[in-house]
Amino acid sequence: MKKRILAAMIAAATVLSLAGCKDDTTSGNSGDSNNSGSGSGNSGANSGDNSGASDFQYTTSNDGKTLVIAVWNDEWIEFFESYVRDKLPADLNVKYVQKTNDGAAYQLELLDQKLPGNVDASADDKIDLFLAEADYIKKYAWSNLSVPIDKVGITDTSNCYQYTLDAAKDQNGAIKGLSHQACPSAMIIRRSIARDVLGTDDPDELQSKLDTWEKYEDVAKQCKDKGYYMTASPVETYRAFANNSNQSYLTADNKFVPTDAFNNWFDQAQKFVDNGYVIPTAELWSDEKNAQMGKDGKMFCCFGPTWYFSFSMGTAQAETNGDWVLIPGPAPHFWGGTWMMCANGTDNVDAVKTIMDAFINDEEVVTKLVEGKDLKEVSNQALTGNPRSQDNPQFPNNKKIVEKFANDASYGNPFLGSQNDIKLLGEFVNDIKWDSSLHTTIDQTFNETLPNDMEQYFAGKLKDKDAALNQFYTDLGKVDPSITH
Amino acid sequence: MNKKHKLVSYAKWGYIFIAPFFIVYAVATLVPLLSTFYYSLFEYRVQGFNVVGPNFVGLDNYKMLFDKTSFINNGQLQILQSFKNTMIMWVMGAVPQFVFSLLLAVIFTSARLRIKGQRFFKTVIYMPNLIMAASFAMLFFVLFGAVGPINQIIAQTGGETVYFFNQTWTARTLVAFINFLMWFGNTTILLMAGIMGIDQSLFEAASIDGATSIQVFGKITMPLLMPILVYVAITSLIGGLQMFDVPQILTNGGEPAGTCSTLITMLNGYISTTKNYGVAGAISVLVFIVTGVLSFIVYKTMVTSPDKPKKKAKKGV
Repeated sequence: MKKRILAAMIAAATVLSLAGCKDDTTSGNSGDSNNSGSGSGNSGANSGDNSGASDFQYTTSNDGKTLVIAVWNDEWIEFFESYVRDKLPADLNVKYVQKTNDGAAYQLELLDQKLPGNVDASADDKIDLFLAEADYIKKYAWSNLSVPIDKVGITDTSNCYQYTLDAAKDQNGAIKGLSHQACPSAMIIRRSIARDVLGTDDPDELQSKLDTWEKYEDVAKQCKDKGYYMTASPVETYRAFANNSNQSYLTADNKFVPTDAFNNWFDQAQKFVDNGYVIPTAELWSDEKNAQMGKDGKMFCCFGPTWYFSFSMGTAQAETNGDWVLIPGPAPHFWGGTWMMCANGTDNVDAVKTIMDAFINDEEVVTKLVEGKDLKEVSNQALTGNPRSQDNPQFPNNKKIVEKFANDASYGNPFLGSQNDIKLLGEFVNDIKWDSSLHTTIDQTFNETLPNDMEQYFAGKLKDKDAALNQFYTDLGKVDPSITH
Repeated sequence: MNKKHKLVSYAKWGYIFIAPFFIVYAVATLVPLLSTFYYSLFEYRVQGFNVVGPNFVGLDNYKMLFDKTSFINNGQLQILQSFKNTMIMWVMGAVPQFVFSLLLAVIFTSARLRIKGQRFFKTVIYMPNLIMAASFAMLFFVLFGAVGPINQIIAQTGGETVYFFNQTWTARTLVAFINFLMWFGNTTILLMAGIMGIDQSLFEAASIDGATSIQVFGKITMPLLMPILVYVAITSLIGGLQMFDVPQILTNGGEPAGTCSTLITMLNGYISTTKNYGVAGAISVLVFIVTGVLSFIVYKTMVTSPDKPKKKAKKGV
């Protein structure tokens, strides 16, 4: 009898363990998430609560031996290791913790897990500095997890562009982060195709033919007639509309409403798809789009800031280098930005100050950022020991240096056929505004998931716009079930 | 008296020897499993850096899964769709896999054919199983991409670009094909072991009696292989219901239009980054129940039929 019970138990155990495999992870993690006790922030994505009270006592000290930096890619590490690292004490260890930005993993699986308990973490695990992007900086600025920069010791931000400061302000107006780059985003045109279609590749002449969306559409038709595509992806123009929007995706009562900017973008994209001005299946981040920027590419233009040249243009750096030109286009906007934020609980506040200050105020460092040369290559958060094969010039967050380069006749970006991109971008970067009330703590969901769902519709994966919207509502429910629509 | 005492003491050692399994099982599997059941009755999720709950909500999570208007579904019952997709892709992969593996196993074990280089073939067909499913899916994602090698070949032969991942049936076929490719070697080796376990004298007797290969297969191999076949079918079914890595990577978690989503990719959507333990727990419990029920059905339908001839045979002896 005992044997039978035993056999039954073993059998039950086997079945349970086979079927239960996935359940392990489900509840296995649940212990980790209870550590948010000291956390703050807002429960609704739209409205902040009062956690960012102005009398909050931040915990900072300077007795750490290891500087822990949270990042989502290797780019910032390359700048830091190449230009700034030698300004820190030689005996200070630097440790990186990393998660990909995809699917908001960097926020949800790294920052949100670690920052709330950062004050009580062991010395070598305390995050000192973390990076945040425009799409979610509000979430961290409007919380007690980041320390105001005046408490870090940064006093001079006079060289920074106003929108980079406004983006990092909390509900009391305290600045919580500093970006080493400003990201004015413009229209990047393939010179050879522009000459073929419009008979010129002069930036001023091109701008006069493309300074409104009506003219843009007209040029798109001409491109089609000559066998080119205006942009490869229908989503290419999303940021030019969305990052110029004067509405929030969320109403005060936490309801999702598509903005006018979104609707205008969608209508234009739909028209471009219908007319064959774009490739419907070419997703924004895909090999199919990248192929259109190489030597056999048929793409007239794309939209992006300086980081676009280095990271997002496929093989263009190798195959079509110099065949591009930058113009403001119909809707100059901004896209992205990498804000350095000091984590509450840091034990290396002086090092954080040194880094932040160097990236925005040290003229030697900022000049190097613009030139983007002599970079040490970083792969998987570690120096490979090799120089980076490709320069990575930035648009810096320092008006003085921008002015210097804008007026330097000898400066030109080789990728843009020696055009002075700093001068062009420097002209409209001051017009970029950041209105905090238009931004939510889950902007990444609106700016990535929403166009991605529409992209699936354009590609024929979903039958119509309603299906795409319904899929987005389901995606939204995963992020925040309390949002209605 | 002395003898009896010794027996009892042996039994005790037996329990002690198996105890580590039960202890590890209880800690690593049973407790999380039961807590999954428990949390499926709660609203319990992470939002930003705040934890919502756990608040007891009874069966609300289950109701939401089957409410077309809830934030999970938005017009279409995702759980049913995912279940349907899972079963379709499992059948598309598993049925050819059984047939193919059975054929290979019979060929490899055939005393008449005596295939040379068996070890080589066995190693080769098992190889795909050694590669991570994720790598396999990534490879196929690139191979069958819009500008990938397959489409380059199609373009060179004058065809139009085929968007394999934009159409339901090509995407599902690729998922099923990868699963087939990964698992047919494993199944073949299990079935070969099963066939080799059959008494050789039965085959000899049959061939002396003049039975054809098909008769031998139908009357001897298949009935006696049934227990192994049942085992293979049930493990394959459980594995199929937990299909995750291939569709997740190949189809971005279920594109196009959710027709390649599976129960576990759906579960993953609620747990991987957004940590909605309540909803994910409810999905897990449903997967558990469905797995149990389906395994029972497969077991019942496959085991009863071969049992009868066995009993008759015993009586005959």
